[in-house]
Amino acid sequence: MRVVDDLFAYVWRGRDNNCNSYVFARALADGKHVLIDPGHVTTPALGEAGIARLAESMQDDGLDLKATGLVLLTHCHPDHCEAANSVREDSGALVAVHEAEVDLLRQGGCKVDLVLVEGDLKLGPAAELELRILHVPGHSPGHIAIYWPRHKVLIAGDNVFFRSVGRVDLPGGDVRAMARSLRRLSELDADYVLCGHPYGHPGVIEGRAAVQENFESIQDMMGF
Amino acid sequence: MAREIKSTLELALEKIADLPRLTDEELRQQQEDEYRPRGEALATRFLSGEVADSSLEAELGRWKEGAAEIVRRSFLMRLCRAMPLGDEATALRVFTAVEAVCGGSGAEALARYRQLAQSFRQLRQRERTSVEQAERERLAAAGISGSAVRVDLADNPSWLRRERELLRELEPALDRLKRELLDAVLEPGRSGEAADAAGGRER
Ligand SMILES: [Zn+2]
Repeated sequence: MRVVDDLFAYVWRGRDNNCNSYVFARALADGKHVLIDPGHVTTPALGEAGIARLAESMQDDGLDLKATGLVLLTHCHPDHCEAANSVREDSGALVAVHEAEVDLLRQGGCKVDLVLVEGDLKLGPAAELELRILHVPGHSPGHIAIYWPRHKVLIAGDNVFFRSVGRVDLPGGDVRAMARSLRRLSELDADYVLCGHPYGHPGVIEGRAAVQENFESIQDMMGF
Repeated sequence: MAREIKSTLELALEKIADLPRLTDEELRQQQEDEYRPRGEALATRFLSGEVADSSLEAELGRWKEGAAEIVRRSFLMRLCRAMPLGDEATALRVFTAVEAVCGGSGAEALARYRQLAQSFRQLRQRERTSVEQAERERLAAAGISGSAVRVDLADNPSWLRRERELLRELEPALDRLKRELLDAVLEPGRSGEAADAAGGRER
């Protein structure tokens, strides 16, 4: 599903838990794609195909998963990052994660090529796609969100869901950091919020009013 | 008839008497085979941190005379063989142990090791900078740039290859150093074993 411009959303439709994936199609030189959160290879509880299903969905949009040049991980939970290494091996893509989760990712057996910190990420032969990497810990210590000012798109990972927020009771979670991160994200000028999971909603929140309403309901819940 | 029935004890004694006597050399070898693994195991436990610096003397003091000498020697040989260039924390533990066990006899070798490790560090840094630069250029050509991105070389195949090559280049110098260190810490007449140890040959 095309969200805006060449940004595609792949909402997880299985029964087991897995993440939503997002693709900036042909964003790199040689027409290679940038994939955000490849998710599980196979879901652990029900054994549903994760990455193979993503490849099929991308194929429906005329995109080849093997033409991925960069994998950005919002964070290192397995339901977001498990397939990163296989994508890296199959496509030669570089894998990037926030510096606070590099060791964690390596411990899980995934190779890391790029370390992300808060700052600008410019993509394309002439750096035409300008993104902002935001370090927003809380759900995990090195969680990032990706903001695309041009189209006011916020790829929020597991911070923001539809009328809900990510867990903070997992190892490395921090409720206070989460409140700070949510406040920060809510202050962005966003027309789209793309969530890490389709919990109770596909997780693609579109339109300024819907985005604002979602942040307000989260604000009431979290009291920030 | 009854006289011909031998007791179990008599039978056992006859068997022992039939056994060929061990020569001094064979006895020495038997003792060596028994205690060498203990010294090597102690070195492994010491390097892993399981045995603290402060308990080293007590650990080595558990054996007496000939056994103590074998354990001490195999401990030192295993330690020196384990001395790496790229991991100075481990190398320092080796020297700590050498100093604890032999007094100051490894001091000169330690100074030389530090020199060698420093050249390795400098060469490594220079190579690292050049691989990093090449990676940044490759990234820019691929269309990835910006202040949010840092190259990480820990899983980078060209860096890993270059680092291995560097270690190989400095290996002969490191081997010489290990040999000298062993010559310094083992008593005279053992240098042949020292050379074996430095060359990394298991016996
Ligand atoms: Zn998560």
